[in-house]
Amino acid sequence: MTDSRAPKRIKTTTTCEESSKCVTYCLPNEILVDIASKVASQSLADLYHLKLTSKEMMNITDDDYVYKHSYLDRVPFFRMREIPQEDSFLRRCRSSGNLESLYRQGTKEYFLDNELYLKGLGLVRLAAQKGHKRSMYAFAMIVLMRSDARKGSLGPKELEEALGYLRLLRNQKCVLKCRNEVVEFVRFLKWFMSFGLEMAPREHLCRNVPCTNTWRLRTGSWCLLTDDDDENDPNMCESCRWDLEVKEFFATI
Amino acid sequence: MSSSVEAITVLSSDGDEFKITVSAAKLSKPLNWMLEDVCFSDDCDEVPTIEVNSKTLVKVIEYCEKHAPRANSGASDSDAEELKKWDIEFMKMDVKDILFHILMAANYLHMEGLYDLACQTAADLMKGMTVSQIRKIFHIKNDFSSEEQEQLRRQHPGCSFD
Repeated sequence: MTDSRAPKRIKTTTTCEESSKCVTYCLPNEILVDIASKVASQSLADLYHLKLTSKEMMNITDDDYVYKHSYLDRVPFFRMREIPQEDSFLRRCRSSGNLESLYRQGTKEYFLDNELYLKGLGLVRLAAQKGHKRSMYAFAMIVLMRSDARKGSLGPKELEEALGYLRLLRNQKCVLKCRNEVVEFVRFLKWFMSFGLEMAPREHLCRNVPCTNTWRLRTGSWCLLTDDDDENDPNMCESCRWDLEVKEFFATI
Repeated sequence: MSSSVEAITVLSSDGDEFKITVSAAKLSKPLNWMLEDVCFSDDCDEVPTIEVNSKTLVKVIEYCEKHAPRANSGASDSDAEELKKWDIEFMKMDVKDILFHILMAANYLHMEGLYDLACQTAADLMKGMTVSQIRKIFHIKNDFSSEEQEQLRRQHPGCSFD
């Protein structure tokens, strides 16, 4: 919805003349921007097809709001030879606060930059707070892992936040999906940048050794295969579930 | 506002009268403000004008009446499912003839749900379309010169133009 405006009568265009049926004539720019951001959030190809229809449309859709909502999942992490248009597009997405951009940049900075890693973590956290699921998972894993040299300022508050995200993802049955996606990105970073950051899971969340209510699988299989198996059973120890998650995450990256 | 009134009469920009129930009118912020400001009763002869043409207003009121019960009381998942199906059917309409008017009306009447639905419908129409197909659907005039066209084709090898 466009911003609040005077509630009193605003004359709407009631007829489109034959000569001016064009969408850019019939609708004000702010509505076109809202439509374009819906298109952008589904497919970049469709967005580009819309942009290329006319100069006017190109100008109207060149709006931060559209960049912010652009769907970047299909954009590869890296290209051997950069495409200038794509590059400038992605830069614009970043500066407009696109959540996928924040996640990618933040994760990269966290793992690869020994000086800016806290800033990187800040970006991942910001995207997580705004509801970006992969960022939620990445933030949680970063908080739950220990790397002696860079403990940083992660305390009980961050731990609570991290566990909150994991619970939310579990309720939406997408922990495994997020894990796979984050692992894919972290593996790419590792391979491409060959970072040698030493990482290890922090001490177990569950303090009972051995835990009597330990997290078990619903089915007889010996590993968690799908998100549907990840049932939130109140009788099982939640900490054990997250200990397993950290273990699995570290095993795969 | 008098609580005895269940429906109010509004005028379209074409001067036609329409009845809308109070609970449905509440979906629109400006109408809600009007309800609070003005005393609507049977002997009140002030009829507010809504600057939306009759054809569009019929659709908007249809949407409001359908969505009002859910907005006021909340609904179960099966209701939400049914409502979604209804929305899809409801949005099967001609683009320039009515969809644009619905967008304008929803924006003007501050109806978030309808506005969102109409934007999504417009966006869905572009799914998988080429540049020239989108131009045709939305009557967009191609204002690029042929040289500029050529350049765009070179710059965007992944895009389908025709």
